[in-house]
Amino acid sequence: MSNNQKHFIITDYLLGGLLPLLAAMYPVVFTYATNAEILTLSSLWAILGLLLAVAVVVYLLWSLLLKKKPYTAALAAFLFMVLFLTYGSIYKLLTKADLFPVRHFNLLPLVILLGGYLGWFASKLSAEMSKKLWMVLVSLAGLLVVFNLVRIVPLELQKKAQASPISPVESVAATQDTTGKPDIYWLIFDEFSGFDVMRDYFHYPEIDDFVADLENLGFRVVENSHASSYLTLHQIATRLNYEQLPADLSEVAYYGYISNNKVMSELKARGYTTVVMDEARSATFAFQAKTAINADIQLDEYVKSTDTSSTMLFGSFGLLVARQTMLDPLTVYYNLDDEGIARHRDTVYFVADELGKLDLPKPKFVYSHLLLPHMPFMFTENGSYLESPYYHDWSHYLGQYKFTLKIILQAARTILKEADPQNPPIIILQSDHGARNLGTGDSGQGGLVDFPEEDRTSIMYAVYAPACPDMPLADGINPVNTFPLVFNCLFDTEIPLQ
Amino acid sequence: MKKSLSKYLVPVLIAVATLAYFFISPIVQQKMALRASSLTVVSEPLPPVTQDARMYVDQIRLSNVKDEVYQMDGWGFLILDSKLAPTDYERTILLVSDTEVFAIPTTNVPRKDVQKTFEQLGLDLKDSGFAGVFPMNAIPRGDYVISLLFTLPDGTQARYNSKFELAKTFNSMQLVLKDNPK
Repeated sequence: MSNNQKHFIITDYLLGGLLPLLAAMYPVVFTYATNAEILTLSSLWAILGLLLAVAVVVYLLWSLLLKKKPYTAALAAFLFMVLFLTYGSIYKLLTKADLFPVRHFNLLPLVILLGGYLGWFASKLSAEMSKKLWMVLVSLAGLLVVFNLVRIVPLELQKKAQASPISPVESVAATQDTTGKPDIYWLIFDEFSGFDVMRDYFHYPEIDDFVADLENLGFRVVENSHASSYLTLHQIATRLNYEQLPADLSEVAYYGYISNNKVMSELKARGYTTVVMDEARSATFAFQAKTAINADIQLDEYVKSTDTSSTMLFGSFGLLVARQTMLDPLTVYYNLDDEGIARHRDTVYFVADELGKLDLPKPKFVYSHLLLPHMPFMFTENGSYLESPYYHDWSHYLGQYKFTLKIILQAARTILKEADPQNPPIIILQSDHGARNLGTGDSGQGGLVDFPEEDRTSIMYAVYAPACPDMPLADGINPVNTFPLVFNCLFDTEIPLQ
Repeated sequence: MKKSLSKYLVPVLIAVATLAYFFISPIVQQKMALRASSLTVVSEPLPPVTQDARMYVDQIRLSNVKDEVYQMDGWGFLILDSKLAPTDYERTILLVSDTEVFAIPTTNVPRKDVQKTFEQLGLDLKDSGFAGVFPMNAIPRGDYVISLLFTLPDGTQARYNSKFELAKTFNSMQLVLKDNPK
């Protein structure tokens, strides 16, 4: 064989490999493109790398079996990869159809055998026909991959443009006269229903004991306050900019409003140190693509999970893709929950016990957003842990809500205990929206029966502000006024209320 | 003809063997799961059904994802002149179909709400709740009436049928109220 011929064969083998590789890429880029607004690119590489490695191995095996027929081997590998990548969906479809017992141990060998036979049939094609088919398929797969990349790239550029450089603490304007300015804490508890919903829907009259506890601490409790939507990002963006934003913007648009918001700009200009603990971004089950808020200090890094028993190779995105493939049977052994849940648990306790003790330059504005009592429903009312099958079962919402009441009181007490009595802080306790009863469809787990639509927007709203005894906090007030009320009192601004 | 038959014989045999494995292996797995579980097959005749009892099944829920183990939660008690409390006798969940009966051992669960609801009976029902676990794959396909078997300290037994059935299909399982369509 001449050098030229060798060169051509090597080129054919390299080209042939494109087809299984593109097949392996497609589900990853498609799933990523569909969820790009809430994911980060870093979640993509591990699962993409693994599927590409599988494609290479399959192609090499077929190349060994079908010697000197690179395009036929590519076709055989492609057919096997199609089965590999759709196995999880086939399994779910057959399980749902319920025509015969379907388990991984009986279905997997059947599908692998089918893949082998399809490759065998492909080997009967002539070299010319194989090459033609290869060209058609590689063009189609390439187009599909490129189409999804085109969907991804602009979003990634937009996310990158919104990412704010985090300023060091030293950059806080030291020239401002901050004497006598109180610390401000804004504590958001995600999915925390208003007290009226607790009384009327959940039949939990003991909520009034909690209200009394808050009042005894010096809080003013607002009743019947409703958010303008039940969308977390919309609500946070609206309140941080004291502007009623449309509720139908894209997630990425809200990221921008939240990252560079009016509230923190105003406070920074007045010499405040801005501090953020944002679980809506850092939690594994939240908006991972959310850009960091432009603040002096990000507290998420302070919370170090004590659970080091598992390592995160795939993350939730990788798992989502893996569950569509032949990796599905292995996913039950991949305990994604461990690390994300441990971190969430540690963040909850950090807010309860440590947030008020942080020794940071004063005055400071602390924004804490805890995904509690939001799913996963992992706490019982006494703080013991539920197992993962219950994480999305709404019958455990009330228990987690009761646990949240304890966390709120603990956090408030810690802040007040550590505060300067001569210059007490302002503490705002709120939820973004109420219980929404979401995510009860596909999982088949229990939802809240006859849950009223209007209860979804019912929120908690309580304010501790001894420096502002005349703050016009009326029942039913719109939470868009949260910061205008504070600023009008502290800085004599005259922001109109809505 | 003979040549082409022998050429395809091996692939055909492999396909047939794989298909046979596909259909037979779940049956074998069911027998193995049953043997490995705390479920027992009841072969003796069942005791008579009593009306002096109450029971309810709250839910069946997945308690172990890897092994597909489910837990059945509910409450149940006997109404006896001797005022025996549920902790004084043994309660076993029975799954009764036309052809088979399975028994699931239970543990006691505190149920103050049941105590409050049946206050007028004058019984100690604080621990009238029960929970029993079983692997889904150990139970063959069929409709099973859910009953409680009460075994008193003197060995006498009574049975009470709930309003619920366990509908087990090839790949799933659900709790069904008997009067309701599945």
